Amino acid sequence: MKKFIKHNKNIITLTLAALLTLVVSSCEKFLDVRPKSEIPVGLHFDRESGFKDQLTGVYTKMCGTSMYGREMTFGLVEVLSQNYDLNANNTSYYYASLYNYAESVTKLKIDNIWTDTYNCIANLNVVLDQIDKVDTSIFTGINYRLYKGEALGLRAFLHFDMLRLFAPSYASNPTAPAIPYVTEYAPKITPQTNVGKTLDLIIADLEKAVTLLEVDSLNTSSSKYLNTSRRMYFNYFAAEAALARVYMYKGDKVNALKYAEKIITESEKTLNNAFAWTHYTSLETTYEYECNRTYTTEHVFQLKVNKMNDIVKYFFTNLAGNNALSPSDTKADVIYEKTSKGYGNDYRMNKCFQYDGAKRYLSKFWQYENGPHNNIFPIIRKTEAYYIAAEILKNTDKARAIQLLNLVRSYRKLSSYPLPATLTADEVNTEIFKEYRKEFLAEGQLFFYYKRLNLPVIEGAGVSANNSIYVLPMPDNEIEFGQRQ
Amino acid sequence: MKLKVFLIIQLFLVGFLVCPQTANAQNAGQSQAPRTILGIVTDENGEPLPGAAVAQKRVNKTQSIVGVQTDINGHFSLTLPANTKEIEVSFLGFETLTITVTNQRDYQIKLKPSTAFLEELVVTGMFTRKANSYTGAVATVKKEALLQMGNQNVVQSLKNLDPSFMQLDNLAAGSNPNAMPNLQMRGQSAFPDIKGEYQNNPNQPLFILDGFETNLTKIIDLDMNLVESITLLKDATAKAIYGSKAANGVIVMETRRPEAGKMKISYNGSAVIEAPDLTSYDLANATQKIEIERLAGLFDSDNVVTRISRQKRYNEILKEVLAGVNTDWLAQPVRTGIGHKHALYLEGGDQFMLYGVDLSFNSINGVMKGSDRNTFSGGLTLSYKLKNFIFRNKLSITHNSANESPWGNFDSYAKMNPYSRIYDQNGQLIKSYNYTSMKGVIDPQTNPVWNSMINTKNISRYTDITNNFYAEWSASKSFKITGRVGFSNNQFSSDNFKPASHTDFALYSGDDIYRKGSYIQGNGKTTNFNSDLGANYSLNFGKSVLFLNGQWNMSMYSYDYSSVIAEGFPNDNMDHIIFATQYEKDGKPEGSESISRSLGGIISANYAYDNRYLFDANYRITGSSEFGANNRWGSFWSLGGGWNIHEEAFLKNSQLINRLKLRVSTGYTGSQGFNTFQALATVKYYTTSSYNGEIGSYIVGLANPNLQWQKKYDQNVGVDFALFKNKLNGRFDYYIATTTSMLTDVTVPQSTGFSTYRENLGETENKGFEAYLNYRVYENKNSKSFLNIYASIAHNKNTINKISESLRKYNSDQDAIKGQKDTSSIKLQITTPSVRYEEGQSLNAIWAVRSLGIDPANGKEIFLKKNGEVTYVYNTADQVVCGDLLPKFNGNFGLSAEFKNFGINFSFNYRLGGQIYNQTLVDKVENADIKYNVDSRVFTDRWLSAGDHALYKSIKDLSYTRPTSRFVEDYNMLSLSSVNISYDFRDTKLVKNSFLDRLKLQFYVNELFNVSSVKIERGTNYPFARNFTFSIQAAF
Repeated sequence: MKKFIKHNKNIITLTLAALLTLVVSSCEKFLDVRPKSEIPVGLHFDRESGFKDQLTGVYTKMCGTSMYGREMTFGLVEVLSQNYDLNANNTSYYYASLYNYAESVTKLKIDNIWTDTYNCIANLNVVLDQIDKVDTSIFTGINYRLYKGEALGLRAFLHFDMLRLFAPSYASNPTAPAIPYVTEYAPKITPQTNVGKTLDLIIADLEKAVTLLEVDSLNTSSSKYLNTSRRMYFNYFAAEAALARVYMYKGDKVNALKYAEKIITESEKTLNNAFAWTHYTSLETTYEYECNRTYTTEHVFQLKVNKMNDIVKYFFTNLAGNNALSPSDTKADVIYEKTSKGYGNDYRMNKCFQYDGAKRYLSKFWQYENGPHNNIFPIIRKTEAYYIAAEILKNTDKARAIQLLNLVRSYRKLSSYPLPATLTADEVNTEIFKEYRKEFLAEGQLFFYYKRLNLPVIEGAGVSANNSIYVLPMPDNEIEFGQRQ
Repeated sequence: MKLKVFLIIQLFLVGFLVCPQTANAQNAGQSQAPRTILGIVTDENGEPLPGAAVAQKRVNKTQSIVGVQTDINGHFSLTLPANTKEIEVSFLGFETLTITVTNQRDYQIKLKPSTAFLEELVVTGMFTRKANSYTGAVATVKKEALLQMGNQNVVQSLKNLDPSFMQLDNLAAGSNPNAMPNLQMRGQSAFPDIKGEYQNNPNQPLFILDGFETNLTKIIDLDMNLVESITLLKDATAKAIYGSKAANGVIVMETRRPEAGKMKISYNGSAVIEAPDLTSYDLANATQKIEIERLAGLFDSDNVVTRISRQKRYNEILKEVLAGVNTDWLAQPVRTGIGHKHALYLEGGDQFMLYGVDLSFNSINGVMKGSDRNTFSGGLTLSYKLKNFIFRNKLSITHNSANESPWGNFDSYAKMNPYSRIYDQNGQLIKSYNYTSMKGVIDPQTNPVWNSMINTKNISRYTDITNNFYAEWSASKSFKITGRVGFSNNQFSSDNFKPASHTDFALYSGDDIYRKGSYIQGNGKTTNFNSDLGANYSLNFGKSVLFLNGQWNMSMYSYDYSSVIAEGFPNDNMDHIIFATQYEKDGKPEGSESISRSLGGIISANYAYDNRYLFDANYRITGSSEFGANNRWGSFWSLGGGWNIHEEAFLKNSQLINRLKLRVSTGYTGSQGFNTFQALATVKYYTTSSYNGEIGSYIVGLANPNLQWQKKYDQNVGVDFALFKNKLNGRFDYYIATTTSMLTDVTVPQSTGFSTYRENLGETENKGFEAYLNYRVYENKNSKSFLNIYASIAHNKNTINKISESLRKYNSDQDAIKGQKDTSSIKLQITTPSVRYEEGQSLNAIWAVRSLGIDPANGKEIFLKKNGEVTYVYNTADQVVCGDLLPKFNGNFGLSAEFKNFGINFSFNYRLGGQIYNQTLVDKVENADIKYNVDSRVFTDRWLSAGDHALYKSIKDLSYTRPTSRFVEDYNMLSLSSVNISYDFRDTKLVKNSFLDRLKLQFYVNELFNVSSVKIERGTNYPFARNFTFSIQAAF
């Protein structure tokens, strides 16, 4: 027996050696499998296009109807500001207009806003995680700064809208628990931070974005009008305008004014201006389809919504039926002070309310065949900077405040009705509110105006406003599994 | 005995090392001097045994002995030294015989088969073990036993042979030859696939065919005559070598290997008759149906005008009924299907080269008209033996095509009203009828027969090419190296064509007119590559025998499938996709693709001391691409111990106990098989939207790099025994199997960007036993007659130990659906009990609200709340466990006998205990849609007026019946699953005087009857069938 082992020792050793070699040589690589239908993150981000495509994906999602394609603009958020007259049979928004957030249709809309926005944030976090892992030499030109700046800026911008919807306003309670500020893509629960702290995190990301985005061609080019497509991305000025908005929400007037003035300065440049005033010839056009009802040249940040007509036609035309979203003629008259002040020629009213069949609808977002301004939705307008500056200056430099408002009004065909210099600060404030209501009709900003100032009355609402109206409930699973307060 | 085992081993060695020629010193004559003896070694029947060891018997340990091996004809010649008194003759599988040497020169030695070797070997698919020293829980089924249970397919026969192997009832698919059975072994160890994450049934056992993993379809289509043996590996010791894939049990199949000799041809042919079994249906006839409609108030109205028109309609129907119209709709789509199968096997060769060729054709014609499955397969096995090398290659090709019946779903016939004619008075097919709904609305109802009259196509095909190569090098008797490479490629396709005239498109109008007609074409392939390298070593020292095996393996699997839909086929003869007018409106190609790889190594040891104390240990390490980068490698192990009590001195010569073996085993295995890439962070591109002319990407889900195998911890205690001169033998096993780290969705706050991710969280337990008993009542070896009776029983209890929050959420979601008001679109979800996950309960529990029956006073159902209160109000919160779908006991029993040339086998299948939710009563009686035909119990058992003690609610009560204990029924069942009668022409003149080697005729009946305690419609989409087969086996 022993003899046998001895005899075969070499064979055994050899075999074991062969086995061992196999074990060692078959490295982990063999087990790294690449599916065709899905691309592993590591592979996707080993070239520049991966980052670009990922950001494109986020913009695509932002255009969805749960986000800026509807609910966060002309849909739910605008309904909350009571700018529309809703039919009691409106199955989509009637309960929302009563602030019944628990009703199932409304609840689903609210849940989807939260879910989709945070999904965008997760996608941005992947970009931000990968962009500093990869070799920067894969990026051409300014793209590294551009992509990183856009991702940081968007992450802050989206968190800010979550804060504005799902947390009490800074004015009402700066230390109230707010939202989770998520900066990591991981199955990990991010704790809630309070309103003030969350605003600081948003500001920090936006400030970084501004620095990175300085190289943006919309800022640096000597022929900015050729770079207008940059408005469709979170550009340098979008970051600045967002900062003005965020500081204003936080009540930091110094910084809010600083960034508002930057936008105004750019806007008032006579040459090489990134967002010039929309010329009256674009409004007083021969043909309906050419009319620029949303003043696209004035958008600091806009979204290019794919097939926008397929979304808006079901709310602003007679296809909407009971679900139409429009102020009634009476309400439009009040908003635009047609009878009371004779402002009937305001382009925002004159050009934006039209008949479709027997009824008149808000036609601001009507899409025309071959229309030159189709599929564009404003997210940040430069006029907001004018209003922010006016609101801050109304006590210290009232003349400038009134001048800024009159400037906007002059481009809305109200130059024959300038606001008198004799207005009191309070009266200026009222005019600013009216401007918010006129300028941002169906764009979802008015509700946040009420909330920022924690106003006790939302005009047209049957109930007095407080945090039970201003703060939307987070989804059940977020509360339960994230242990949110 | 100790000595004997030792000697056997010694003799093998001697036989191997000592050359017969060297021991050839001639010196005959006196017993004192060296002399040569000659002889032949045979078995009891006189067949020569080549390779048997004949050697001088050792007197003391130091003595060196001489010995030889018998040649191919069993002859030997041995020169014995002086003073040799005894010689020993031994051969594997036979009892060693000691012979006293006399002066005789020629010896005729007959060896008796050894009882210890009766079971011979356990085939694990990787290596073989001696059954006598193995401690795993396995069941081995030989070809003969398998064929005795029927010749439909392997799975059908297996379920009659081992009770732990269960084919779950599929009341919908019935006997559809193209529906794959739902199988499980020893209970459910994975959560049911609610979200379709698994590629296959997550509880399906692993199939190993000739050492390589294969899929269920291939097993179903396998020619049964090629199967040599099947081994079911049940406990940790047996399964652990398959590591991460073995948790659900392993079924190892070995196919036939060619035998040496001149060319031998075997032929096996069968004719199969499949007859529909519609006995479970109890539908109303025309007279009953019109009366049911009348009672339900279909022809009443408070409005006079309406009432007159409804009365008119009643009279029209009545006229038809009185004219004798009573259409048997169920008979329309069914037929008696006649199929046939042929299998041919050619084999032969010499000691170096062996060949085997197999060809088979199997045509199954199902009981629905036009439904069939045709399989053609061919294979070639070549084996080459050179010195101590063996090379073997097996190539097999299978082509299959399967047609679904153009007649559509069987239930569309069951719902047709018997008072409707199929053809009008002119013999023209009626395309559409007007049926009255409960609300009095008249709806058009298409005639399902229509679609069978036009040209449609619903066919799927596959071609499978498999090549397995095996090489073996026996470095010595005790050391062997083996290597295998297997490759298989399966190309599959499907075509589903419906022309414009198909009733599916009846409602298309306007521009959609041009879209009528559809064609779905799918194409795909799977590729499988496996290879392994192993070393086997055996060692004998003293009374110990040790077997050691090591193996390294590698596998790759890829799957790729895509399908397109085209529209617009105005003419039913244009049945090719190229005749489409367009692609599907707003459609795009669909499909899926996956790839997985694994690597692994295994070490396995089997040790026996004195053949009494046995020990098994296995250790396996596997790396798989399906798991998270942080947990890519997993290890699995098992330990087993055994005690052969019958080898102990005190039982050695017992007449009562011939075999008694105790086995204990424990260990871990894993399971996988769900969609890959869940562990990876991956990116996809949007396919339906873009941004500013560019296409964006997005992260698919929340990756979990820590994802790992589901782990199953098996503990098994078993005993094998043979009593009364081996007349009674049996097996008993008790097991507890706990599956931990089950894959389940975990809910996370949406602020992570996603709502769930996959985590290893759940835990279930399966406990149970299996027993098998076989008794040889009568045996007469001379006339080759015997009578055997056998019975088996299995019991399994499933308990959920731990679930995730998201499964709890699933429960409340299901409750919310059941709590909704009656909505026809979700009727099925409202009225069927749903799977519920509750810790401490079974996965198969039936949840319903306890019912006290129908209140005779008002026809309303009385419920019992959780707190014992009585109420009329149904509340989902009051649901409790009202039954369990799994039987308490299930098993088989039967007898098999042979008398001279006649053979007979009966096998019954039973289930005892356990419940079923009688959905037929819910759908066809209580919630019956009177618009369609209903179960005749609507007529007899429903509440009509106050004081009725009825089983079911009022006929006018249209409310949906939510899960209630009223419809939970005890489900006991007995079926005669197989009958086999055979006549073997062995020893007859026909065989002796012709070129025939063998001729056997057989007749089978499968599922002859099925009695059950529950009256439920079986085979709703496709009827069940009884199966009659005539078969002939011949070899020449």
